[in-house]
Amino acid sequence: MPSFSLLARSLRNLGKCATSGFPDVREPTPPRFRGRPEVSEDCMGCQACAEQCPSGAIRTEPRDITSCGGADAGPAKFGTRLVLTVEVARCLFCGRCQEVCPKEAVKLGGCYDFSTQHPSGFDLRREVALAACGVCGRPFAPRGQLEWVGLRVVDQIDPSVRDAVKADLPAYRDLCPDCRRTISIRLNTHTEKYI
Amino acid sequence: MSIKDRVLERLAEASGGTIQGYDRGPSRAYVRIPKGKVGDVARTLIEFGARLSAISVVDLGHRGFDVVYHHSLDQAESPLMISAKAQVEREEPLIESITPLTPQADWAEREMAEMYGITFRGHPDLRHLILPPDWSKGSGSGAVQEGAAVGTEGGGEGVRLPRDLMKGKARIPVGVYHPMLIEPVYFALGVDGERITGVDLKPGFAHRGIMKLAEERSYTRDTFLVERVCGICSASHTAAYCKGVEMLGGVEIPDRARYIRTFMCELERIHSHTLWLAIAMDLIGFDSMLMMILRERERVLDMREEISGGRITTGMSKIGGVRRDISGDALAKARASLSLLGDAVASISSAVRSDPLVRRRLEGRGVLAARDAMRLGVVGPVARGSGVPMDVRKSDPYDAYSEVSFGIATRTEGDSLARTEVRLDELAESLSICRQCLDRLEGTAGPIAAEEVPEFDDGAEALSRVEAPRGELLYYIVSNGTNQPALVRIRTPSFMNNPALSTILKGETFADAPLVIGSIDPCLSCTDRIEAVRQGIRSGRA
Repeated sequence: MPSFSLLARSLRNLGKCATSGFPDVREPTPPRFRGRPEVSEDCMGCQACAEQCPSGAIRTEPRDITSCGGADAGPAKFGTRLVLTVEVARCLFCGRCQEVCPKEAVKLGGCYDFSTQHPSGFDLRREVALAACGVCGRPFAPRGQLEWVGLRVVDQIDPSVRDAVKADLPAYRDLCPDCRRTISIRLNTHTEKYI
Repeated sequence: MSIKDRVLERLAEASGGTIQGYDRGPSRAYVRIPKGKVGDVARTLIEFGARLSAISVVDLGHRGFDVVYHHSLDQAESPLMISAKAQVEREEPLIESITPLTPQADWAEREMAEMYGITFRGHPDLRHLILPPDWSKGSGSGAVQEGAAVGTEGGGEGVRLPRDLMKGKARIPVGVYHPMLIEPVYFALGVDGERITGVDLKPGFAHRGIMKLAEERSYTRDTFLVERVCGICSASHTAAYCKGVEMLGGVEIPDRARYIRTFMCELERIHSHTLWLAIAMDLIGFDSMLMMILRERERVLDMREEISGGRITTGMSKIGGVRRDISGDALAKARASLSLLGDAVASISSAVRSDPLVRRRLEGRGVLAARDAMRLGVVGPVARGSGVPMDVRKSDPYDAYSEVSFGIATRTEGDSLARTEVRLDELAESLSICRQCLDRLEGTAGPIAAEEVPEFDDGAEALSRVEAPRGELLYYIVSNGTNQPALVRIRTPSFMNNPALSTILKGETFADAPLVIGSIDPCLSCTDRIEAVRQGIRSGRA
């Protein structure tokens, strides 16, 4: 009789505890577990994750911004740092950021215990430095990203023009798109040169 | 002459020879019909034994709307879905209702009426389905035709509307939040003494605007959105969505990806059916069984966590393949867990089947006759429990289902016990499919995702469906040539099964209602989706 076997099973389990001793005991998570996102020092601020995040949990904004404040206020100040915020409360733990990160800087770690008494520290923040344009001084792109793109260009471009590109790169890499356009004649970086 | 040619020929006759047909692949046909002929077309398709799967509306901007009727021929020798489109003007979107012909169109028309403002002329019960009942704006604000019977096409007395079944009877309101319900839904149960005479359902309380959100996101981001339509069927939703997008671009996914998707979908079926069984035992009051089942179900969740990193939202399917591989150590672990799970499922299954108390609570309760099941267009275990052998995995095979061997579990009794036994049989079949998938994964090498997914043409459309644990899950995706879809229409299985509750519960005692409602495994938060409307403003954020 199955009912009796169930009864026997229930009796066998009597007094035993099946639940784990959380929070004192923390069960290990499997290697692929997708817990709280962690951003490492390798983050260069390219914002690929912010672009792809399905729930819009990743936000980026330049920091230290002051508006130009009119003609009397002197030269305008711009953001010098880029702040990346992961709103953990909005996070879906889907791992898309981990998938698109070119530097493998973001990882969904093994942390699943999110209770905190300090809500301000709940979100994840990272700051990266923005590079200032070599001509106008306006910060325009994360420094790490510029360096990474520079290396990638040299690495992946047609070997026949690699030396020419490598020689020209330091001159225009650190210029903002506007300045790059205005002084491209002086720099002689027209595409024709490389074809 | 193939069935498709025969159907299209008859359709051309029925609509006065003005069908402009075009198709994508052998199993789908999209035909444009004049809007005055929707009734004739529906009648013709019903004669062929077609089931109305869904009604979609495509917003064409200033050109108006396309009302699309998706008909499925389940019993045809080859899989066939016919989508008949009729265009209506923007200023006065008026079309003839086909609900008097088939009750399958009832909810679908009500939903489209309130979400897109289409007026379905002749619909006998245009009260709000998703929106609050006192919502005054737009169409569907309460035109009710007394005493109408729907679905009289093909003989018989048809299906009476719940409102009429409850007329002059005492009403017991159940819900929106009620101990016997797990999800928010409102039931008005009409009773005559202890007997239920009719049930009026009002869903829409967990409406999150997912279909509208999907139109505002890229195809890739939508994968994660549709995964969250349902708290259980995450693998089925992503598999159906990704398959639809792949059909748009004509992408073939690699073999390994097909096996992994099938494996995940079957794992999900085990997870869903065991959870359902546990809840059914809880409704009966057999709580030690509930705990035993939930403990075994934990193995499935652990397996999913091990493979994908998530217990519920596995995120395995992506457009063009799957995200994570199952190989080596993980495969061996999965095999070991499956074997333990197999033993557990066998012992639970025999305990449930042979328990006299369980049998007495289920046997003969909530009978849905085969004829009613066909007429109402129910899907999944509810249809199979009533002797309708309907299974998308067999009738329109996707992923690896054409390669693995499995049977369709059916029962003819149509009562709660039959539906329970169908699910118990399916557990064993699912375990077997999982094992076959692992075997094939071991013998197949290669990538797990297609290299590239092409861009989609403006106006490209795809209709994909999978057999989710609760039945046929349908996705209709229309492209507008950008990286965001123009329409992602989601028709969840419960949307077809829930309206059948009125027929199923009729004549039952009130005390049996919770278990009978539970026996169709209604997933109400899945049923509520589409778009959020707040004082006429379409909300973008859920």
